[in-house]
Amino acid sequence: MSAAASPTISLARPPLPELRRKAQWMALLMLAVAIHVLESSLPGLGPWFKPGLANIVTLVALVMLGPKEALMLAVARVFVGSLFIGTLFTPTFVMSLSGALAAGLVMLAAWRFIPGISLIGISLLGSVAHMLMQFLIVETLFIQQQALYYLLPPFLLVAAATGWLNGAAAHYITDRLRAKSPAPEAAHG
Amino acid sequence: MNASATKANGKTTRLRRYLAGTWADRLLLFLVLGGIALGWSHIQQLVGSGKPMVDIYHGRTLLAEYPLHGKKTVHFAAEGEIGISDVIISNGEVFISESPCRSKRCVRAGHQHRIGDSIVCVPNRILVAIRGDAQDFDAVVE
Repeated sequence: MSAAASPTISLARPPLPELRRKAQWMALLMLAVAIHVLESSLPGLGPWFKPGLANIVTLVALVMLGPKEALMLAVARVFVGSLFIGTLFTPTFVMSLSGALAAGLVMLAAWRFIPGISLIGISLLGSVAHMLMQFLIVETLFIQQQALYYLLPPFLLVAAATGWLNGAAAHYITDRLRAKSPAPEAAHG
Repeated sequence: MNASATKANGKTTRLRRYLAGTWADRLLLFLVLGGIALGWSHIQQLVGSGKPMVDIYHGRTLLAEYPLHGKKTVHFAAEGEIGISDVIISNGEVFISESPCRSKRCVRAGHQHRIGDSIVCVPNRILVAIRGDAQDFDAVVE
């Protein structure tokens, strides 16, 4: 009876490359969550300011695994990260989730439709989209005063700078990963 | 010595290569910075000029307004969504000294004194904004 059951189990097992991709996605998710939690505990970086280092992992996932996986990773990172920090379903969570979704969608669109763009440009647009969406959500749902937008330019300036630097870091990491594995599973397009 | 200098040069070149981006990246950066500069100049016109006034809002409701350079120190208990935020106006500066929120980012925002500066507490839905008395914010006051 057990002999009859074991071939069924072995047939149901996904192929090795798929398992490898899933393992890579999980590893990247854990890394992104760790960075997300670390960033939230950083003191003294000013109100609302975050370096957005977790987005480097999303960019690496975009190159290594593809757009769908990168978007899923960005959203899952916010959920799992918020669970660890204890901000699940709070205003902070709503801001993080909306920002991550906006950044993810803008980065995917930029990657697909802007010719000649690199991870730096993609990260720049993602970072700016993240900040804009956060302001929009805060203004619409919580503060409801247009005076809030007076804070936007300096925040956007910081977002542009961190976006550029994070993109350069992601570019460096993906180059190193490509050099280490001669046949990377690039998923551009 | 020569070899180490060459190595350092190589590292600098590689760093520059990673930071430079493509022509498309640089064009996007130019557009983004241009947009920020335009927005900033527009905001400078909106915040007005004249004597600085401090407006304290809970959501859409204007709770109080005070001159920033009043003679007395003002302690205002702004009742928000989750409790009371203590707003203090003193010596031409405004700050939040106490807040019921967890992150205390509004407290860490520190002392503000320029027209156009704001302090926001998102969980408590409190906004403290400095505007010029020559122009009001385009705000709906209940």
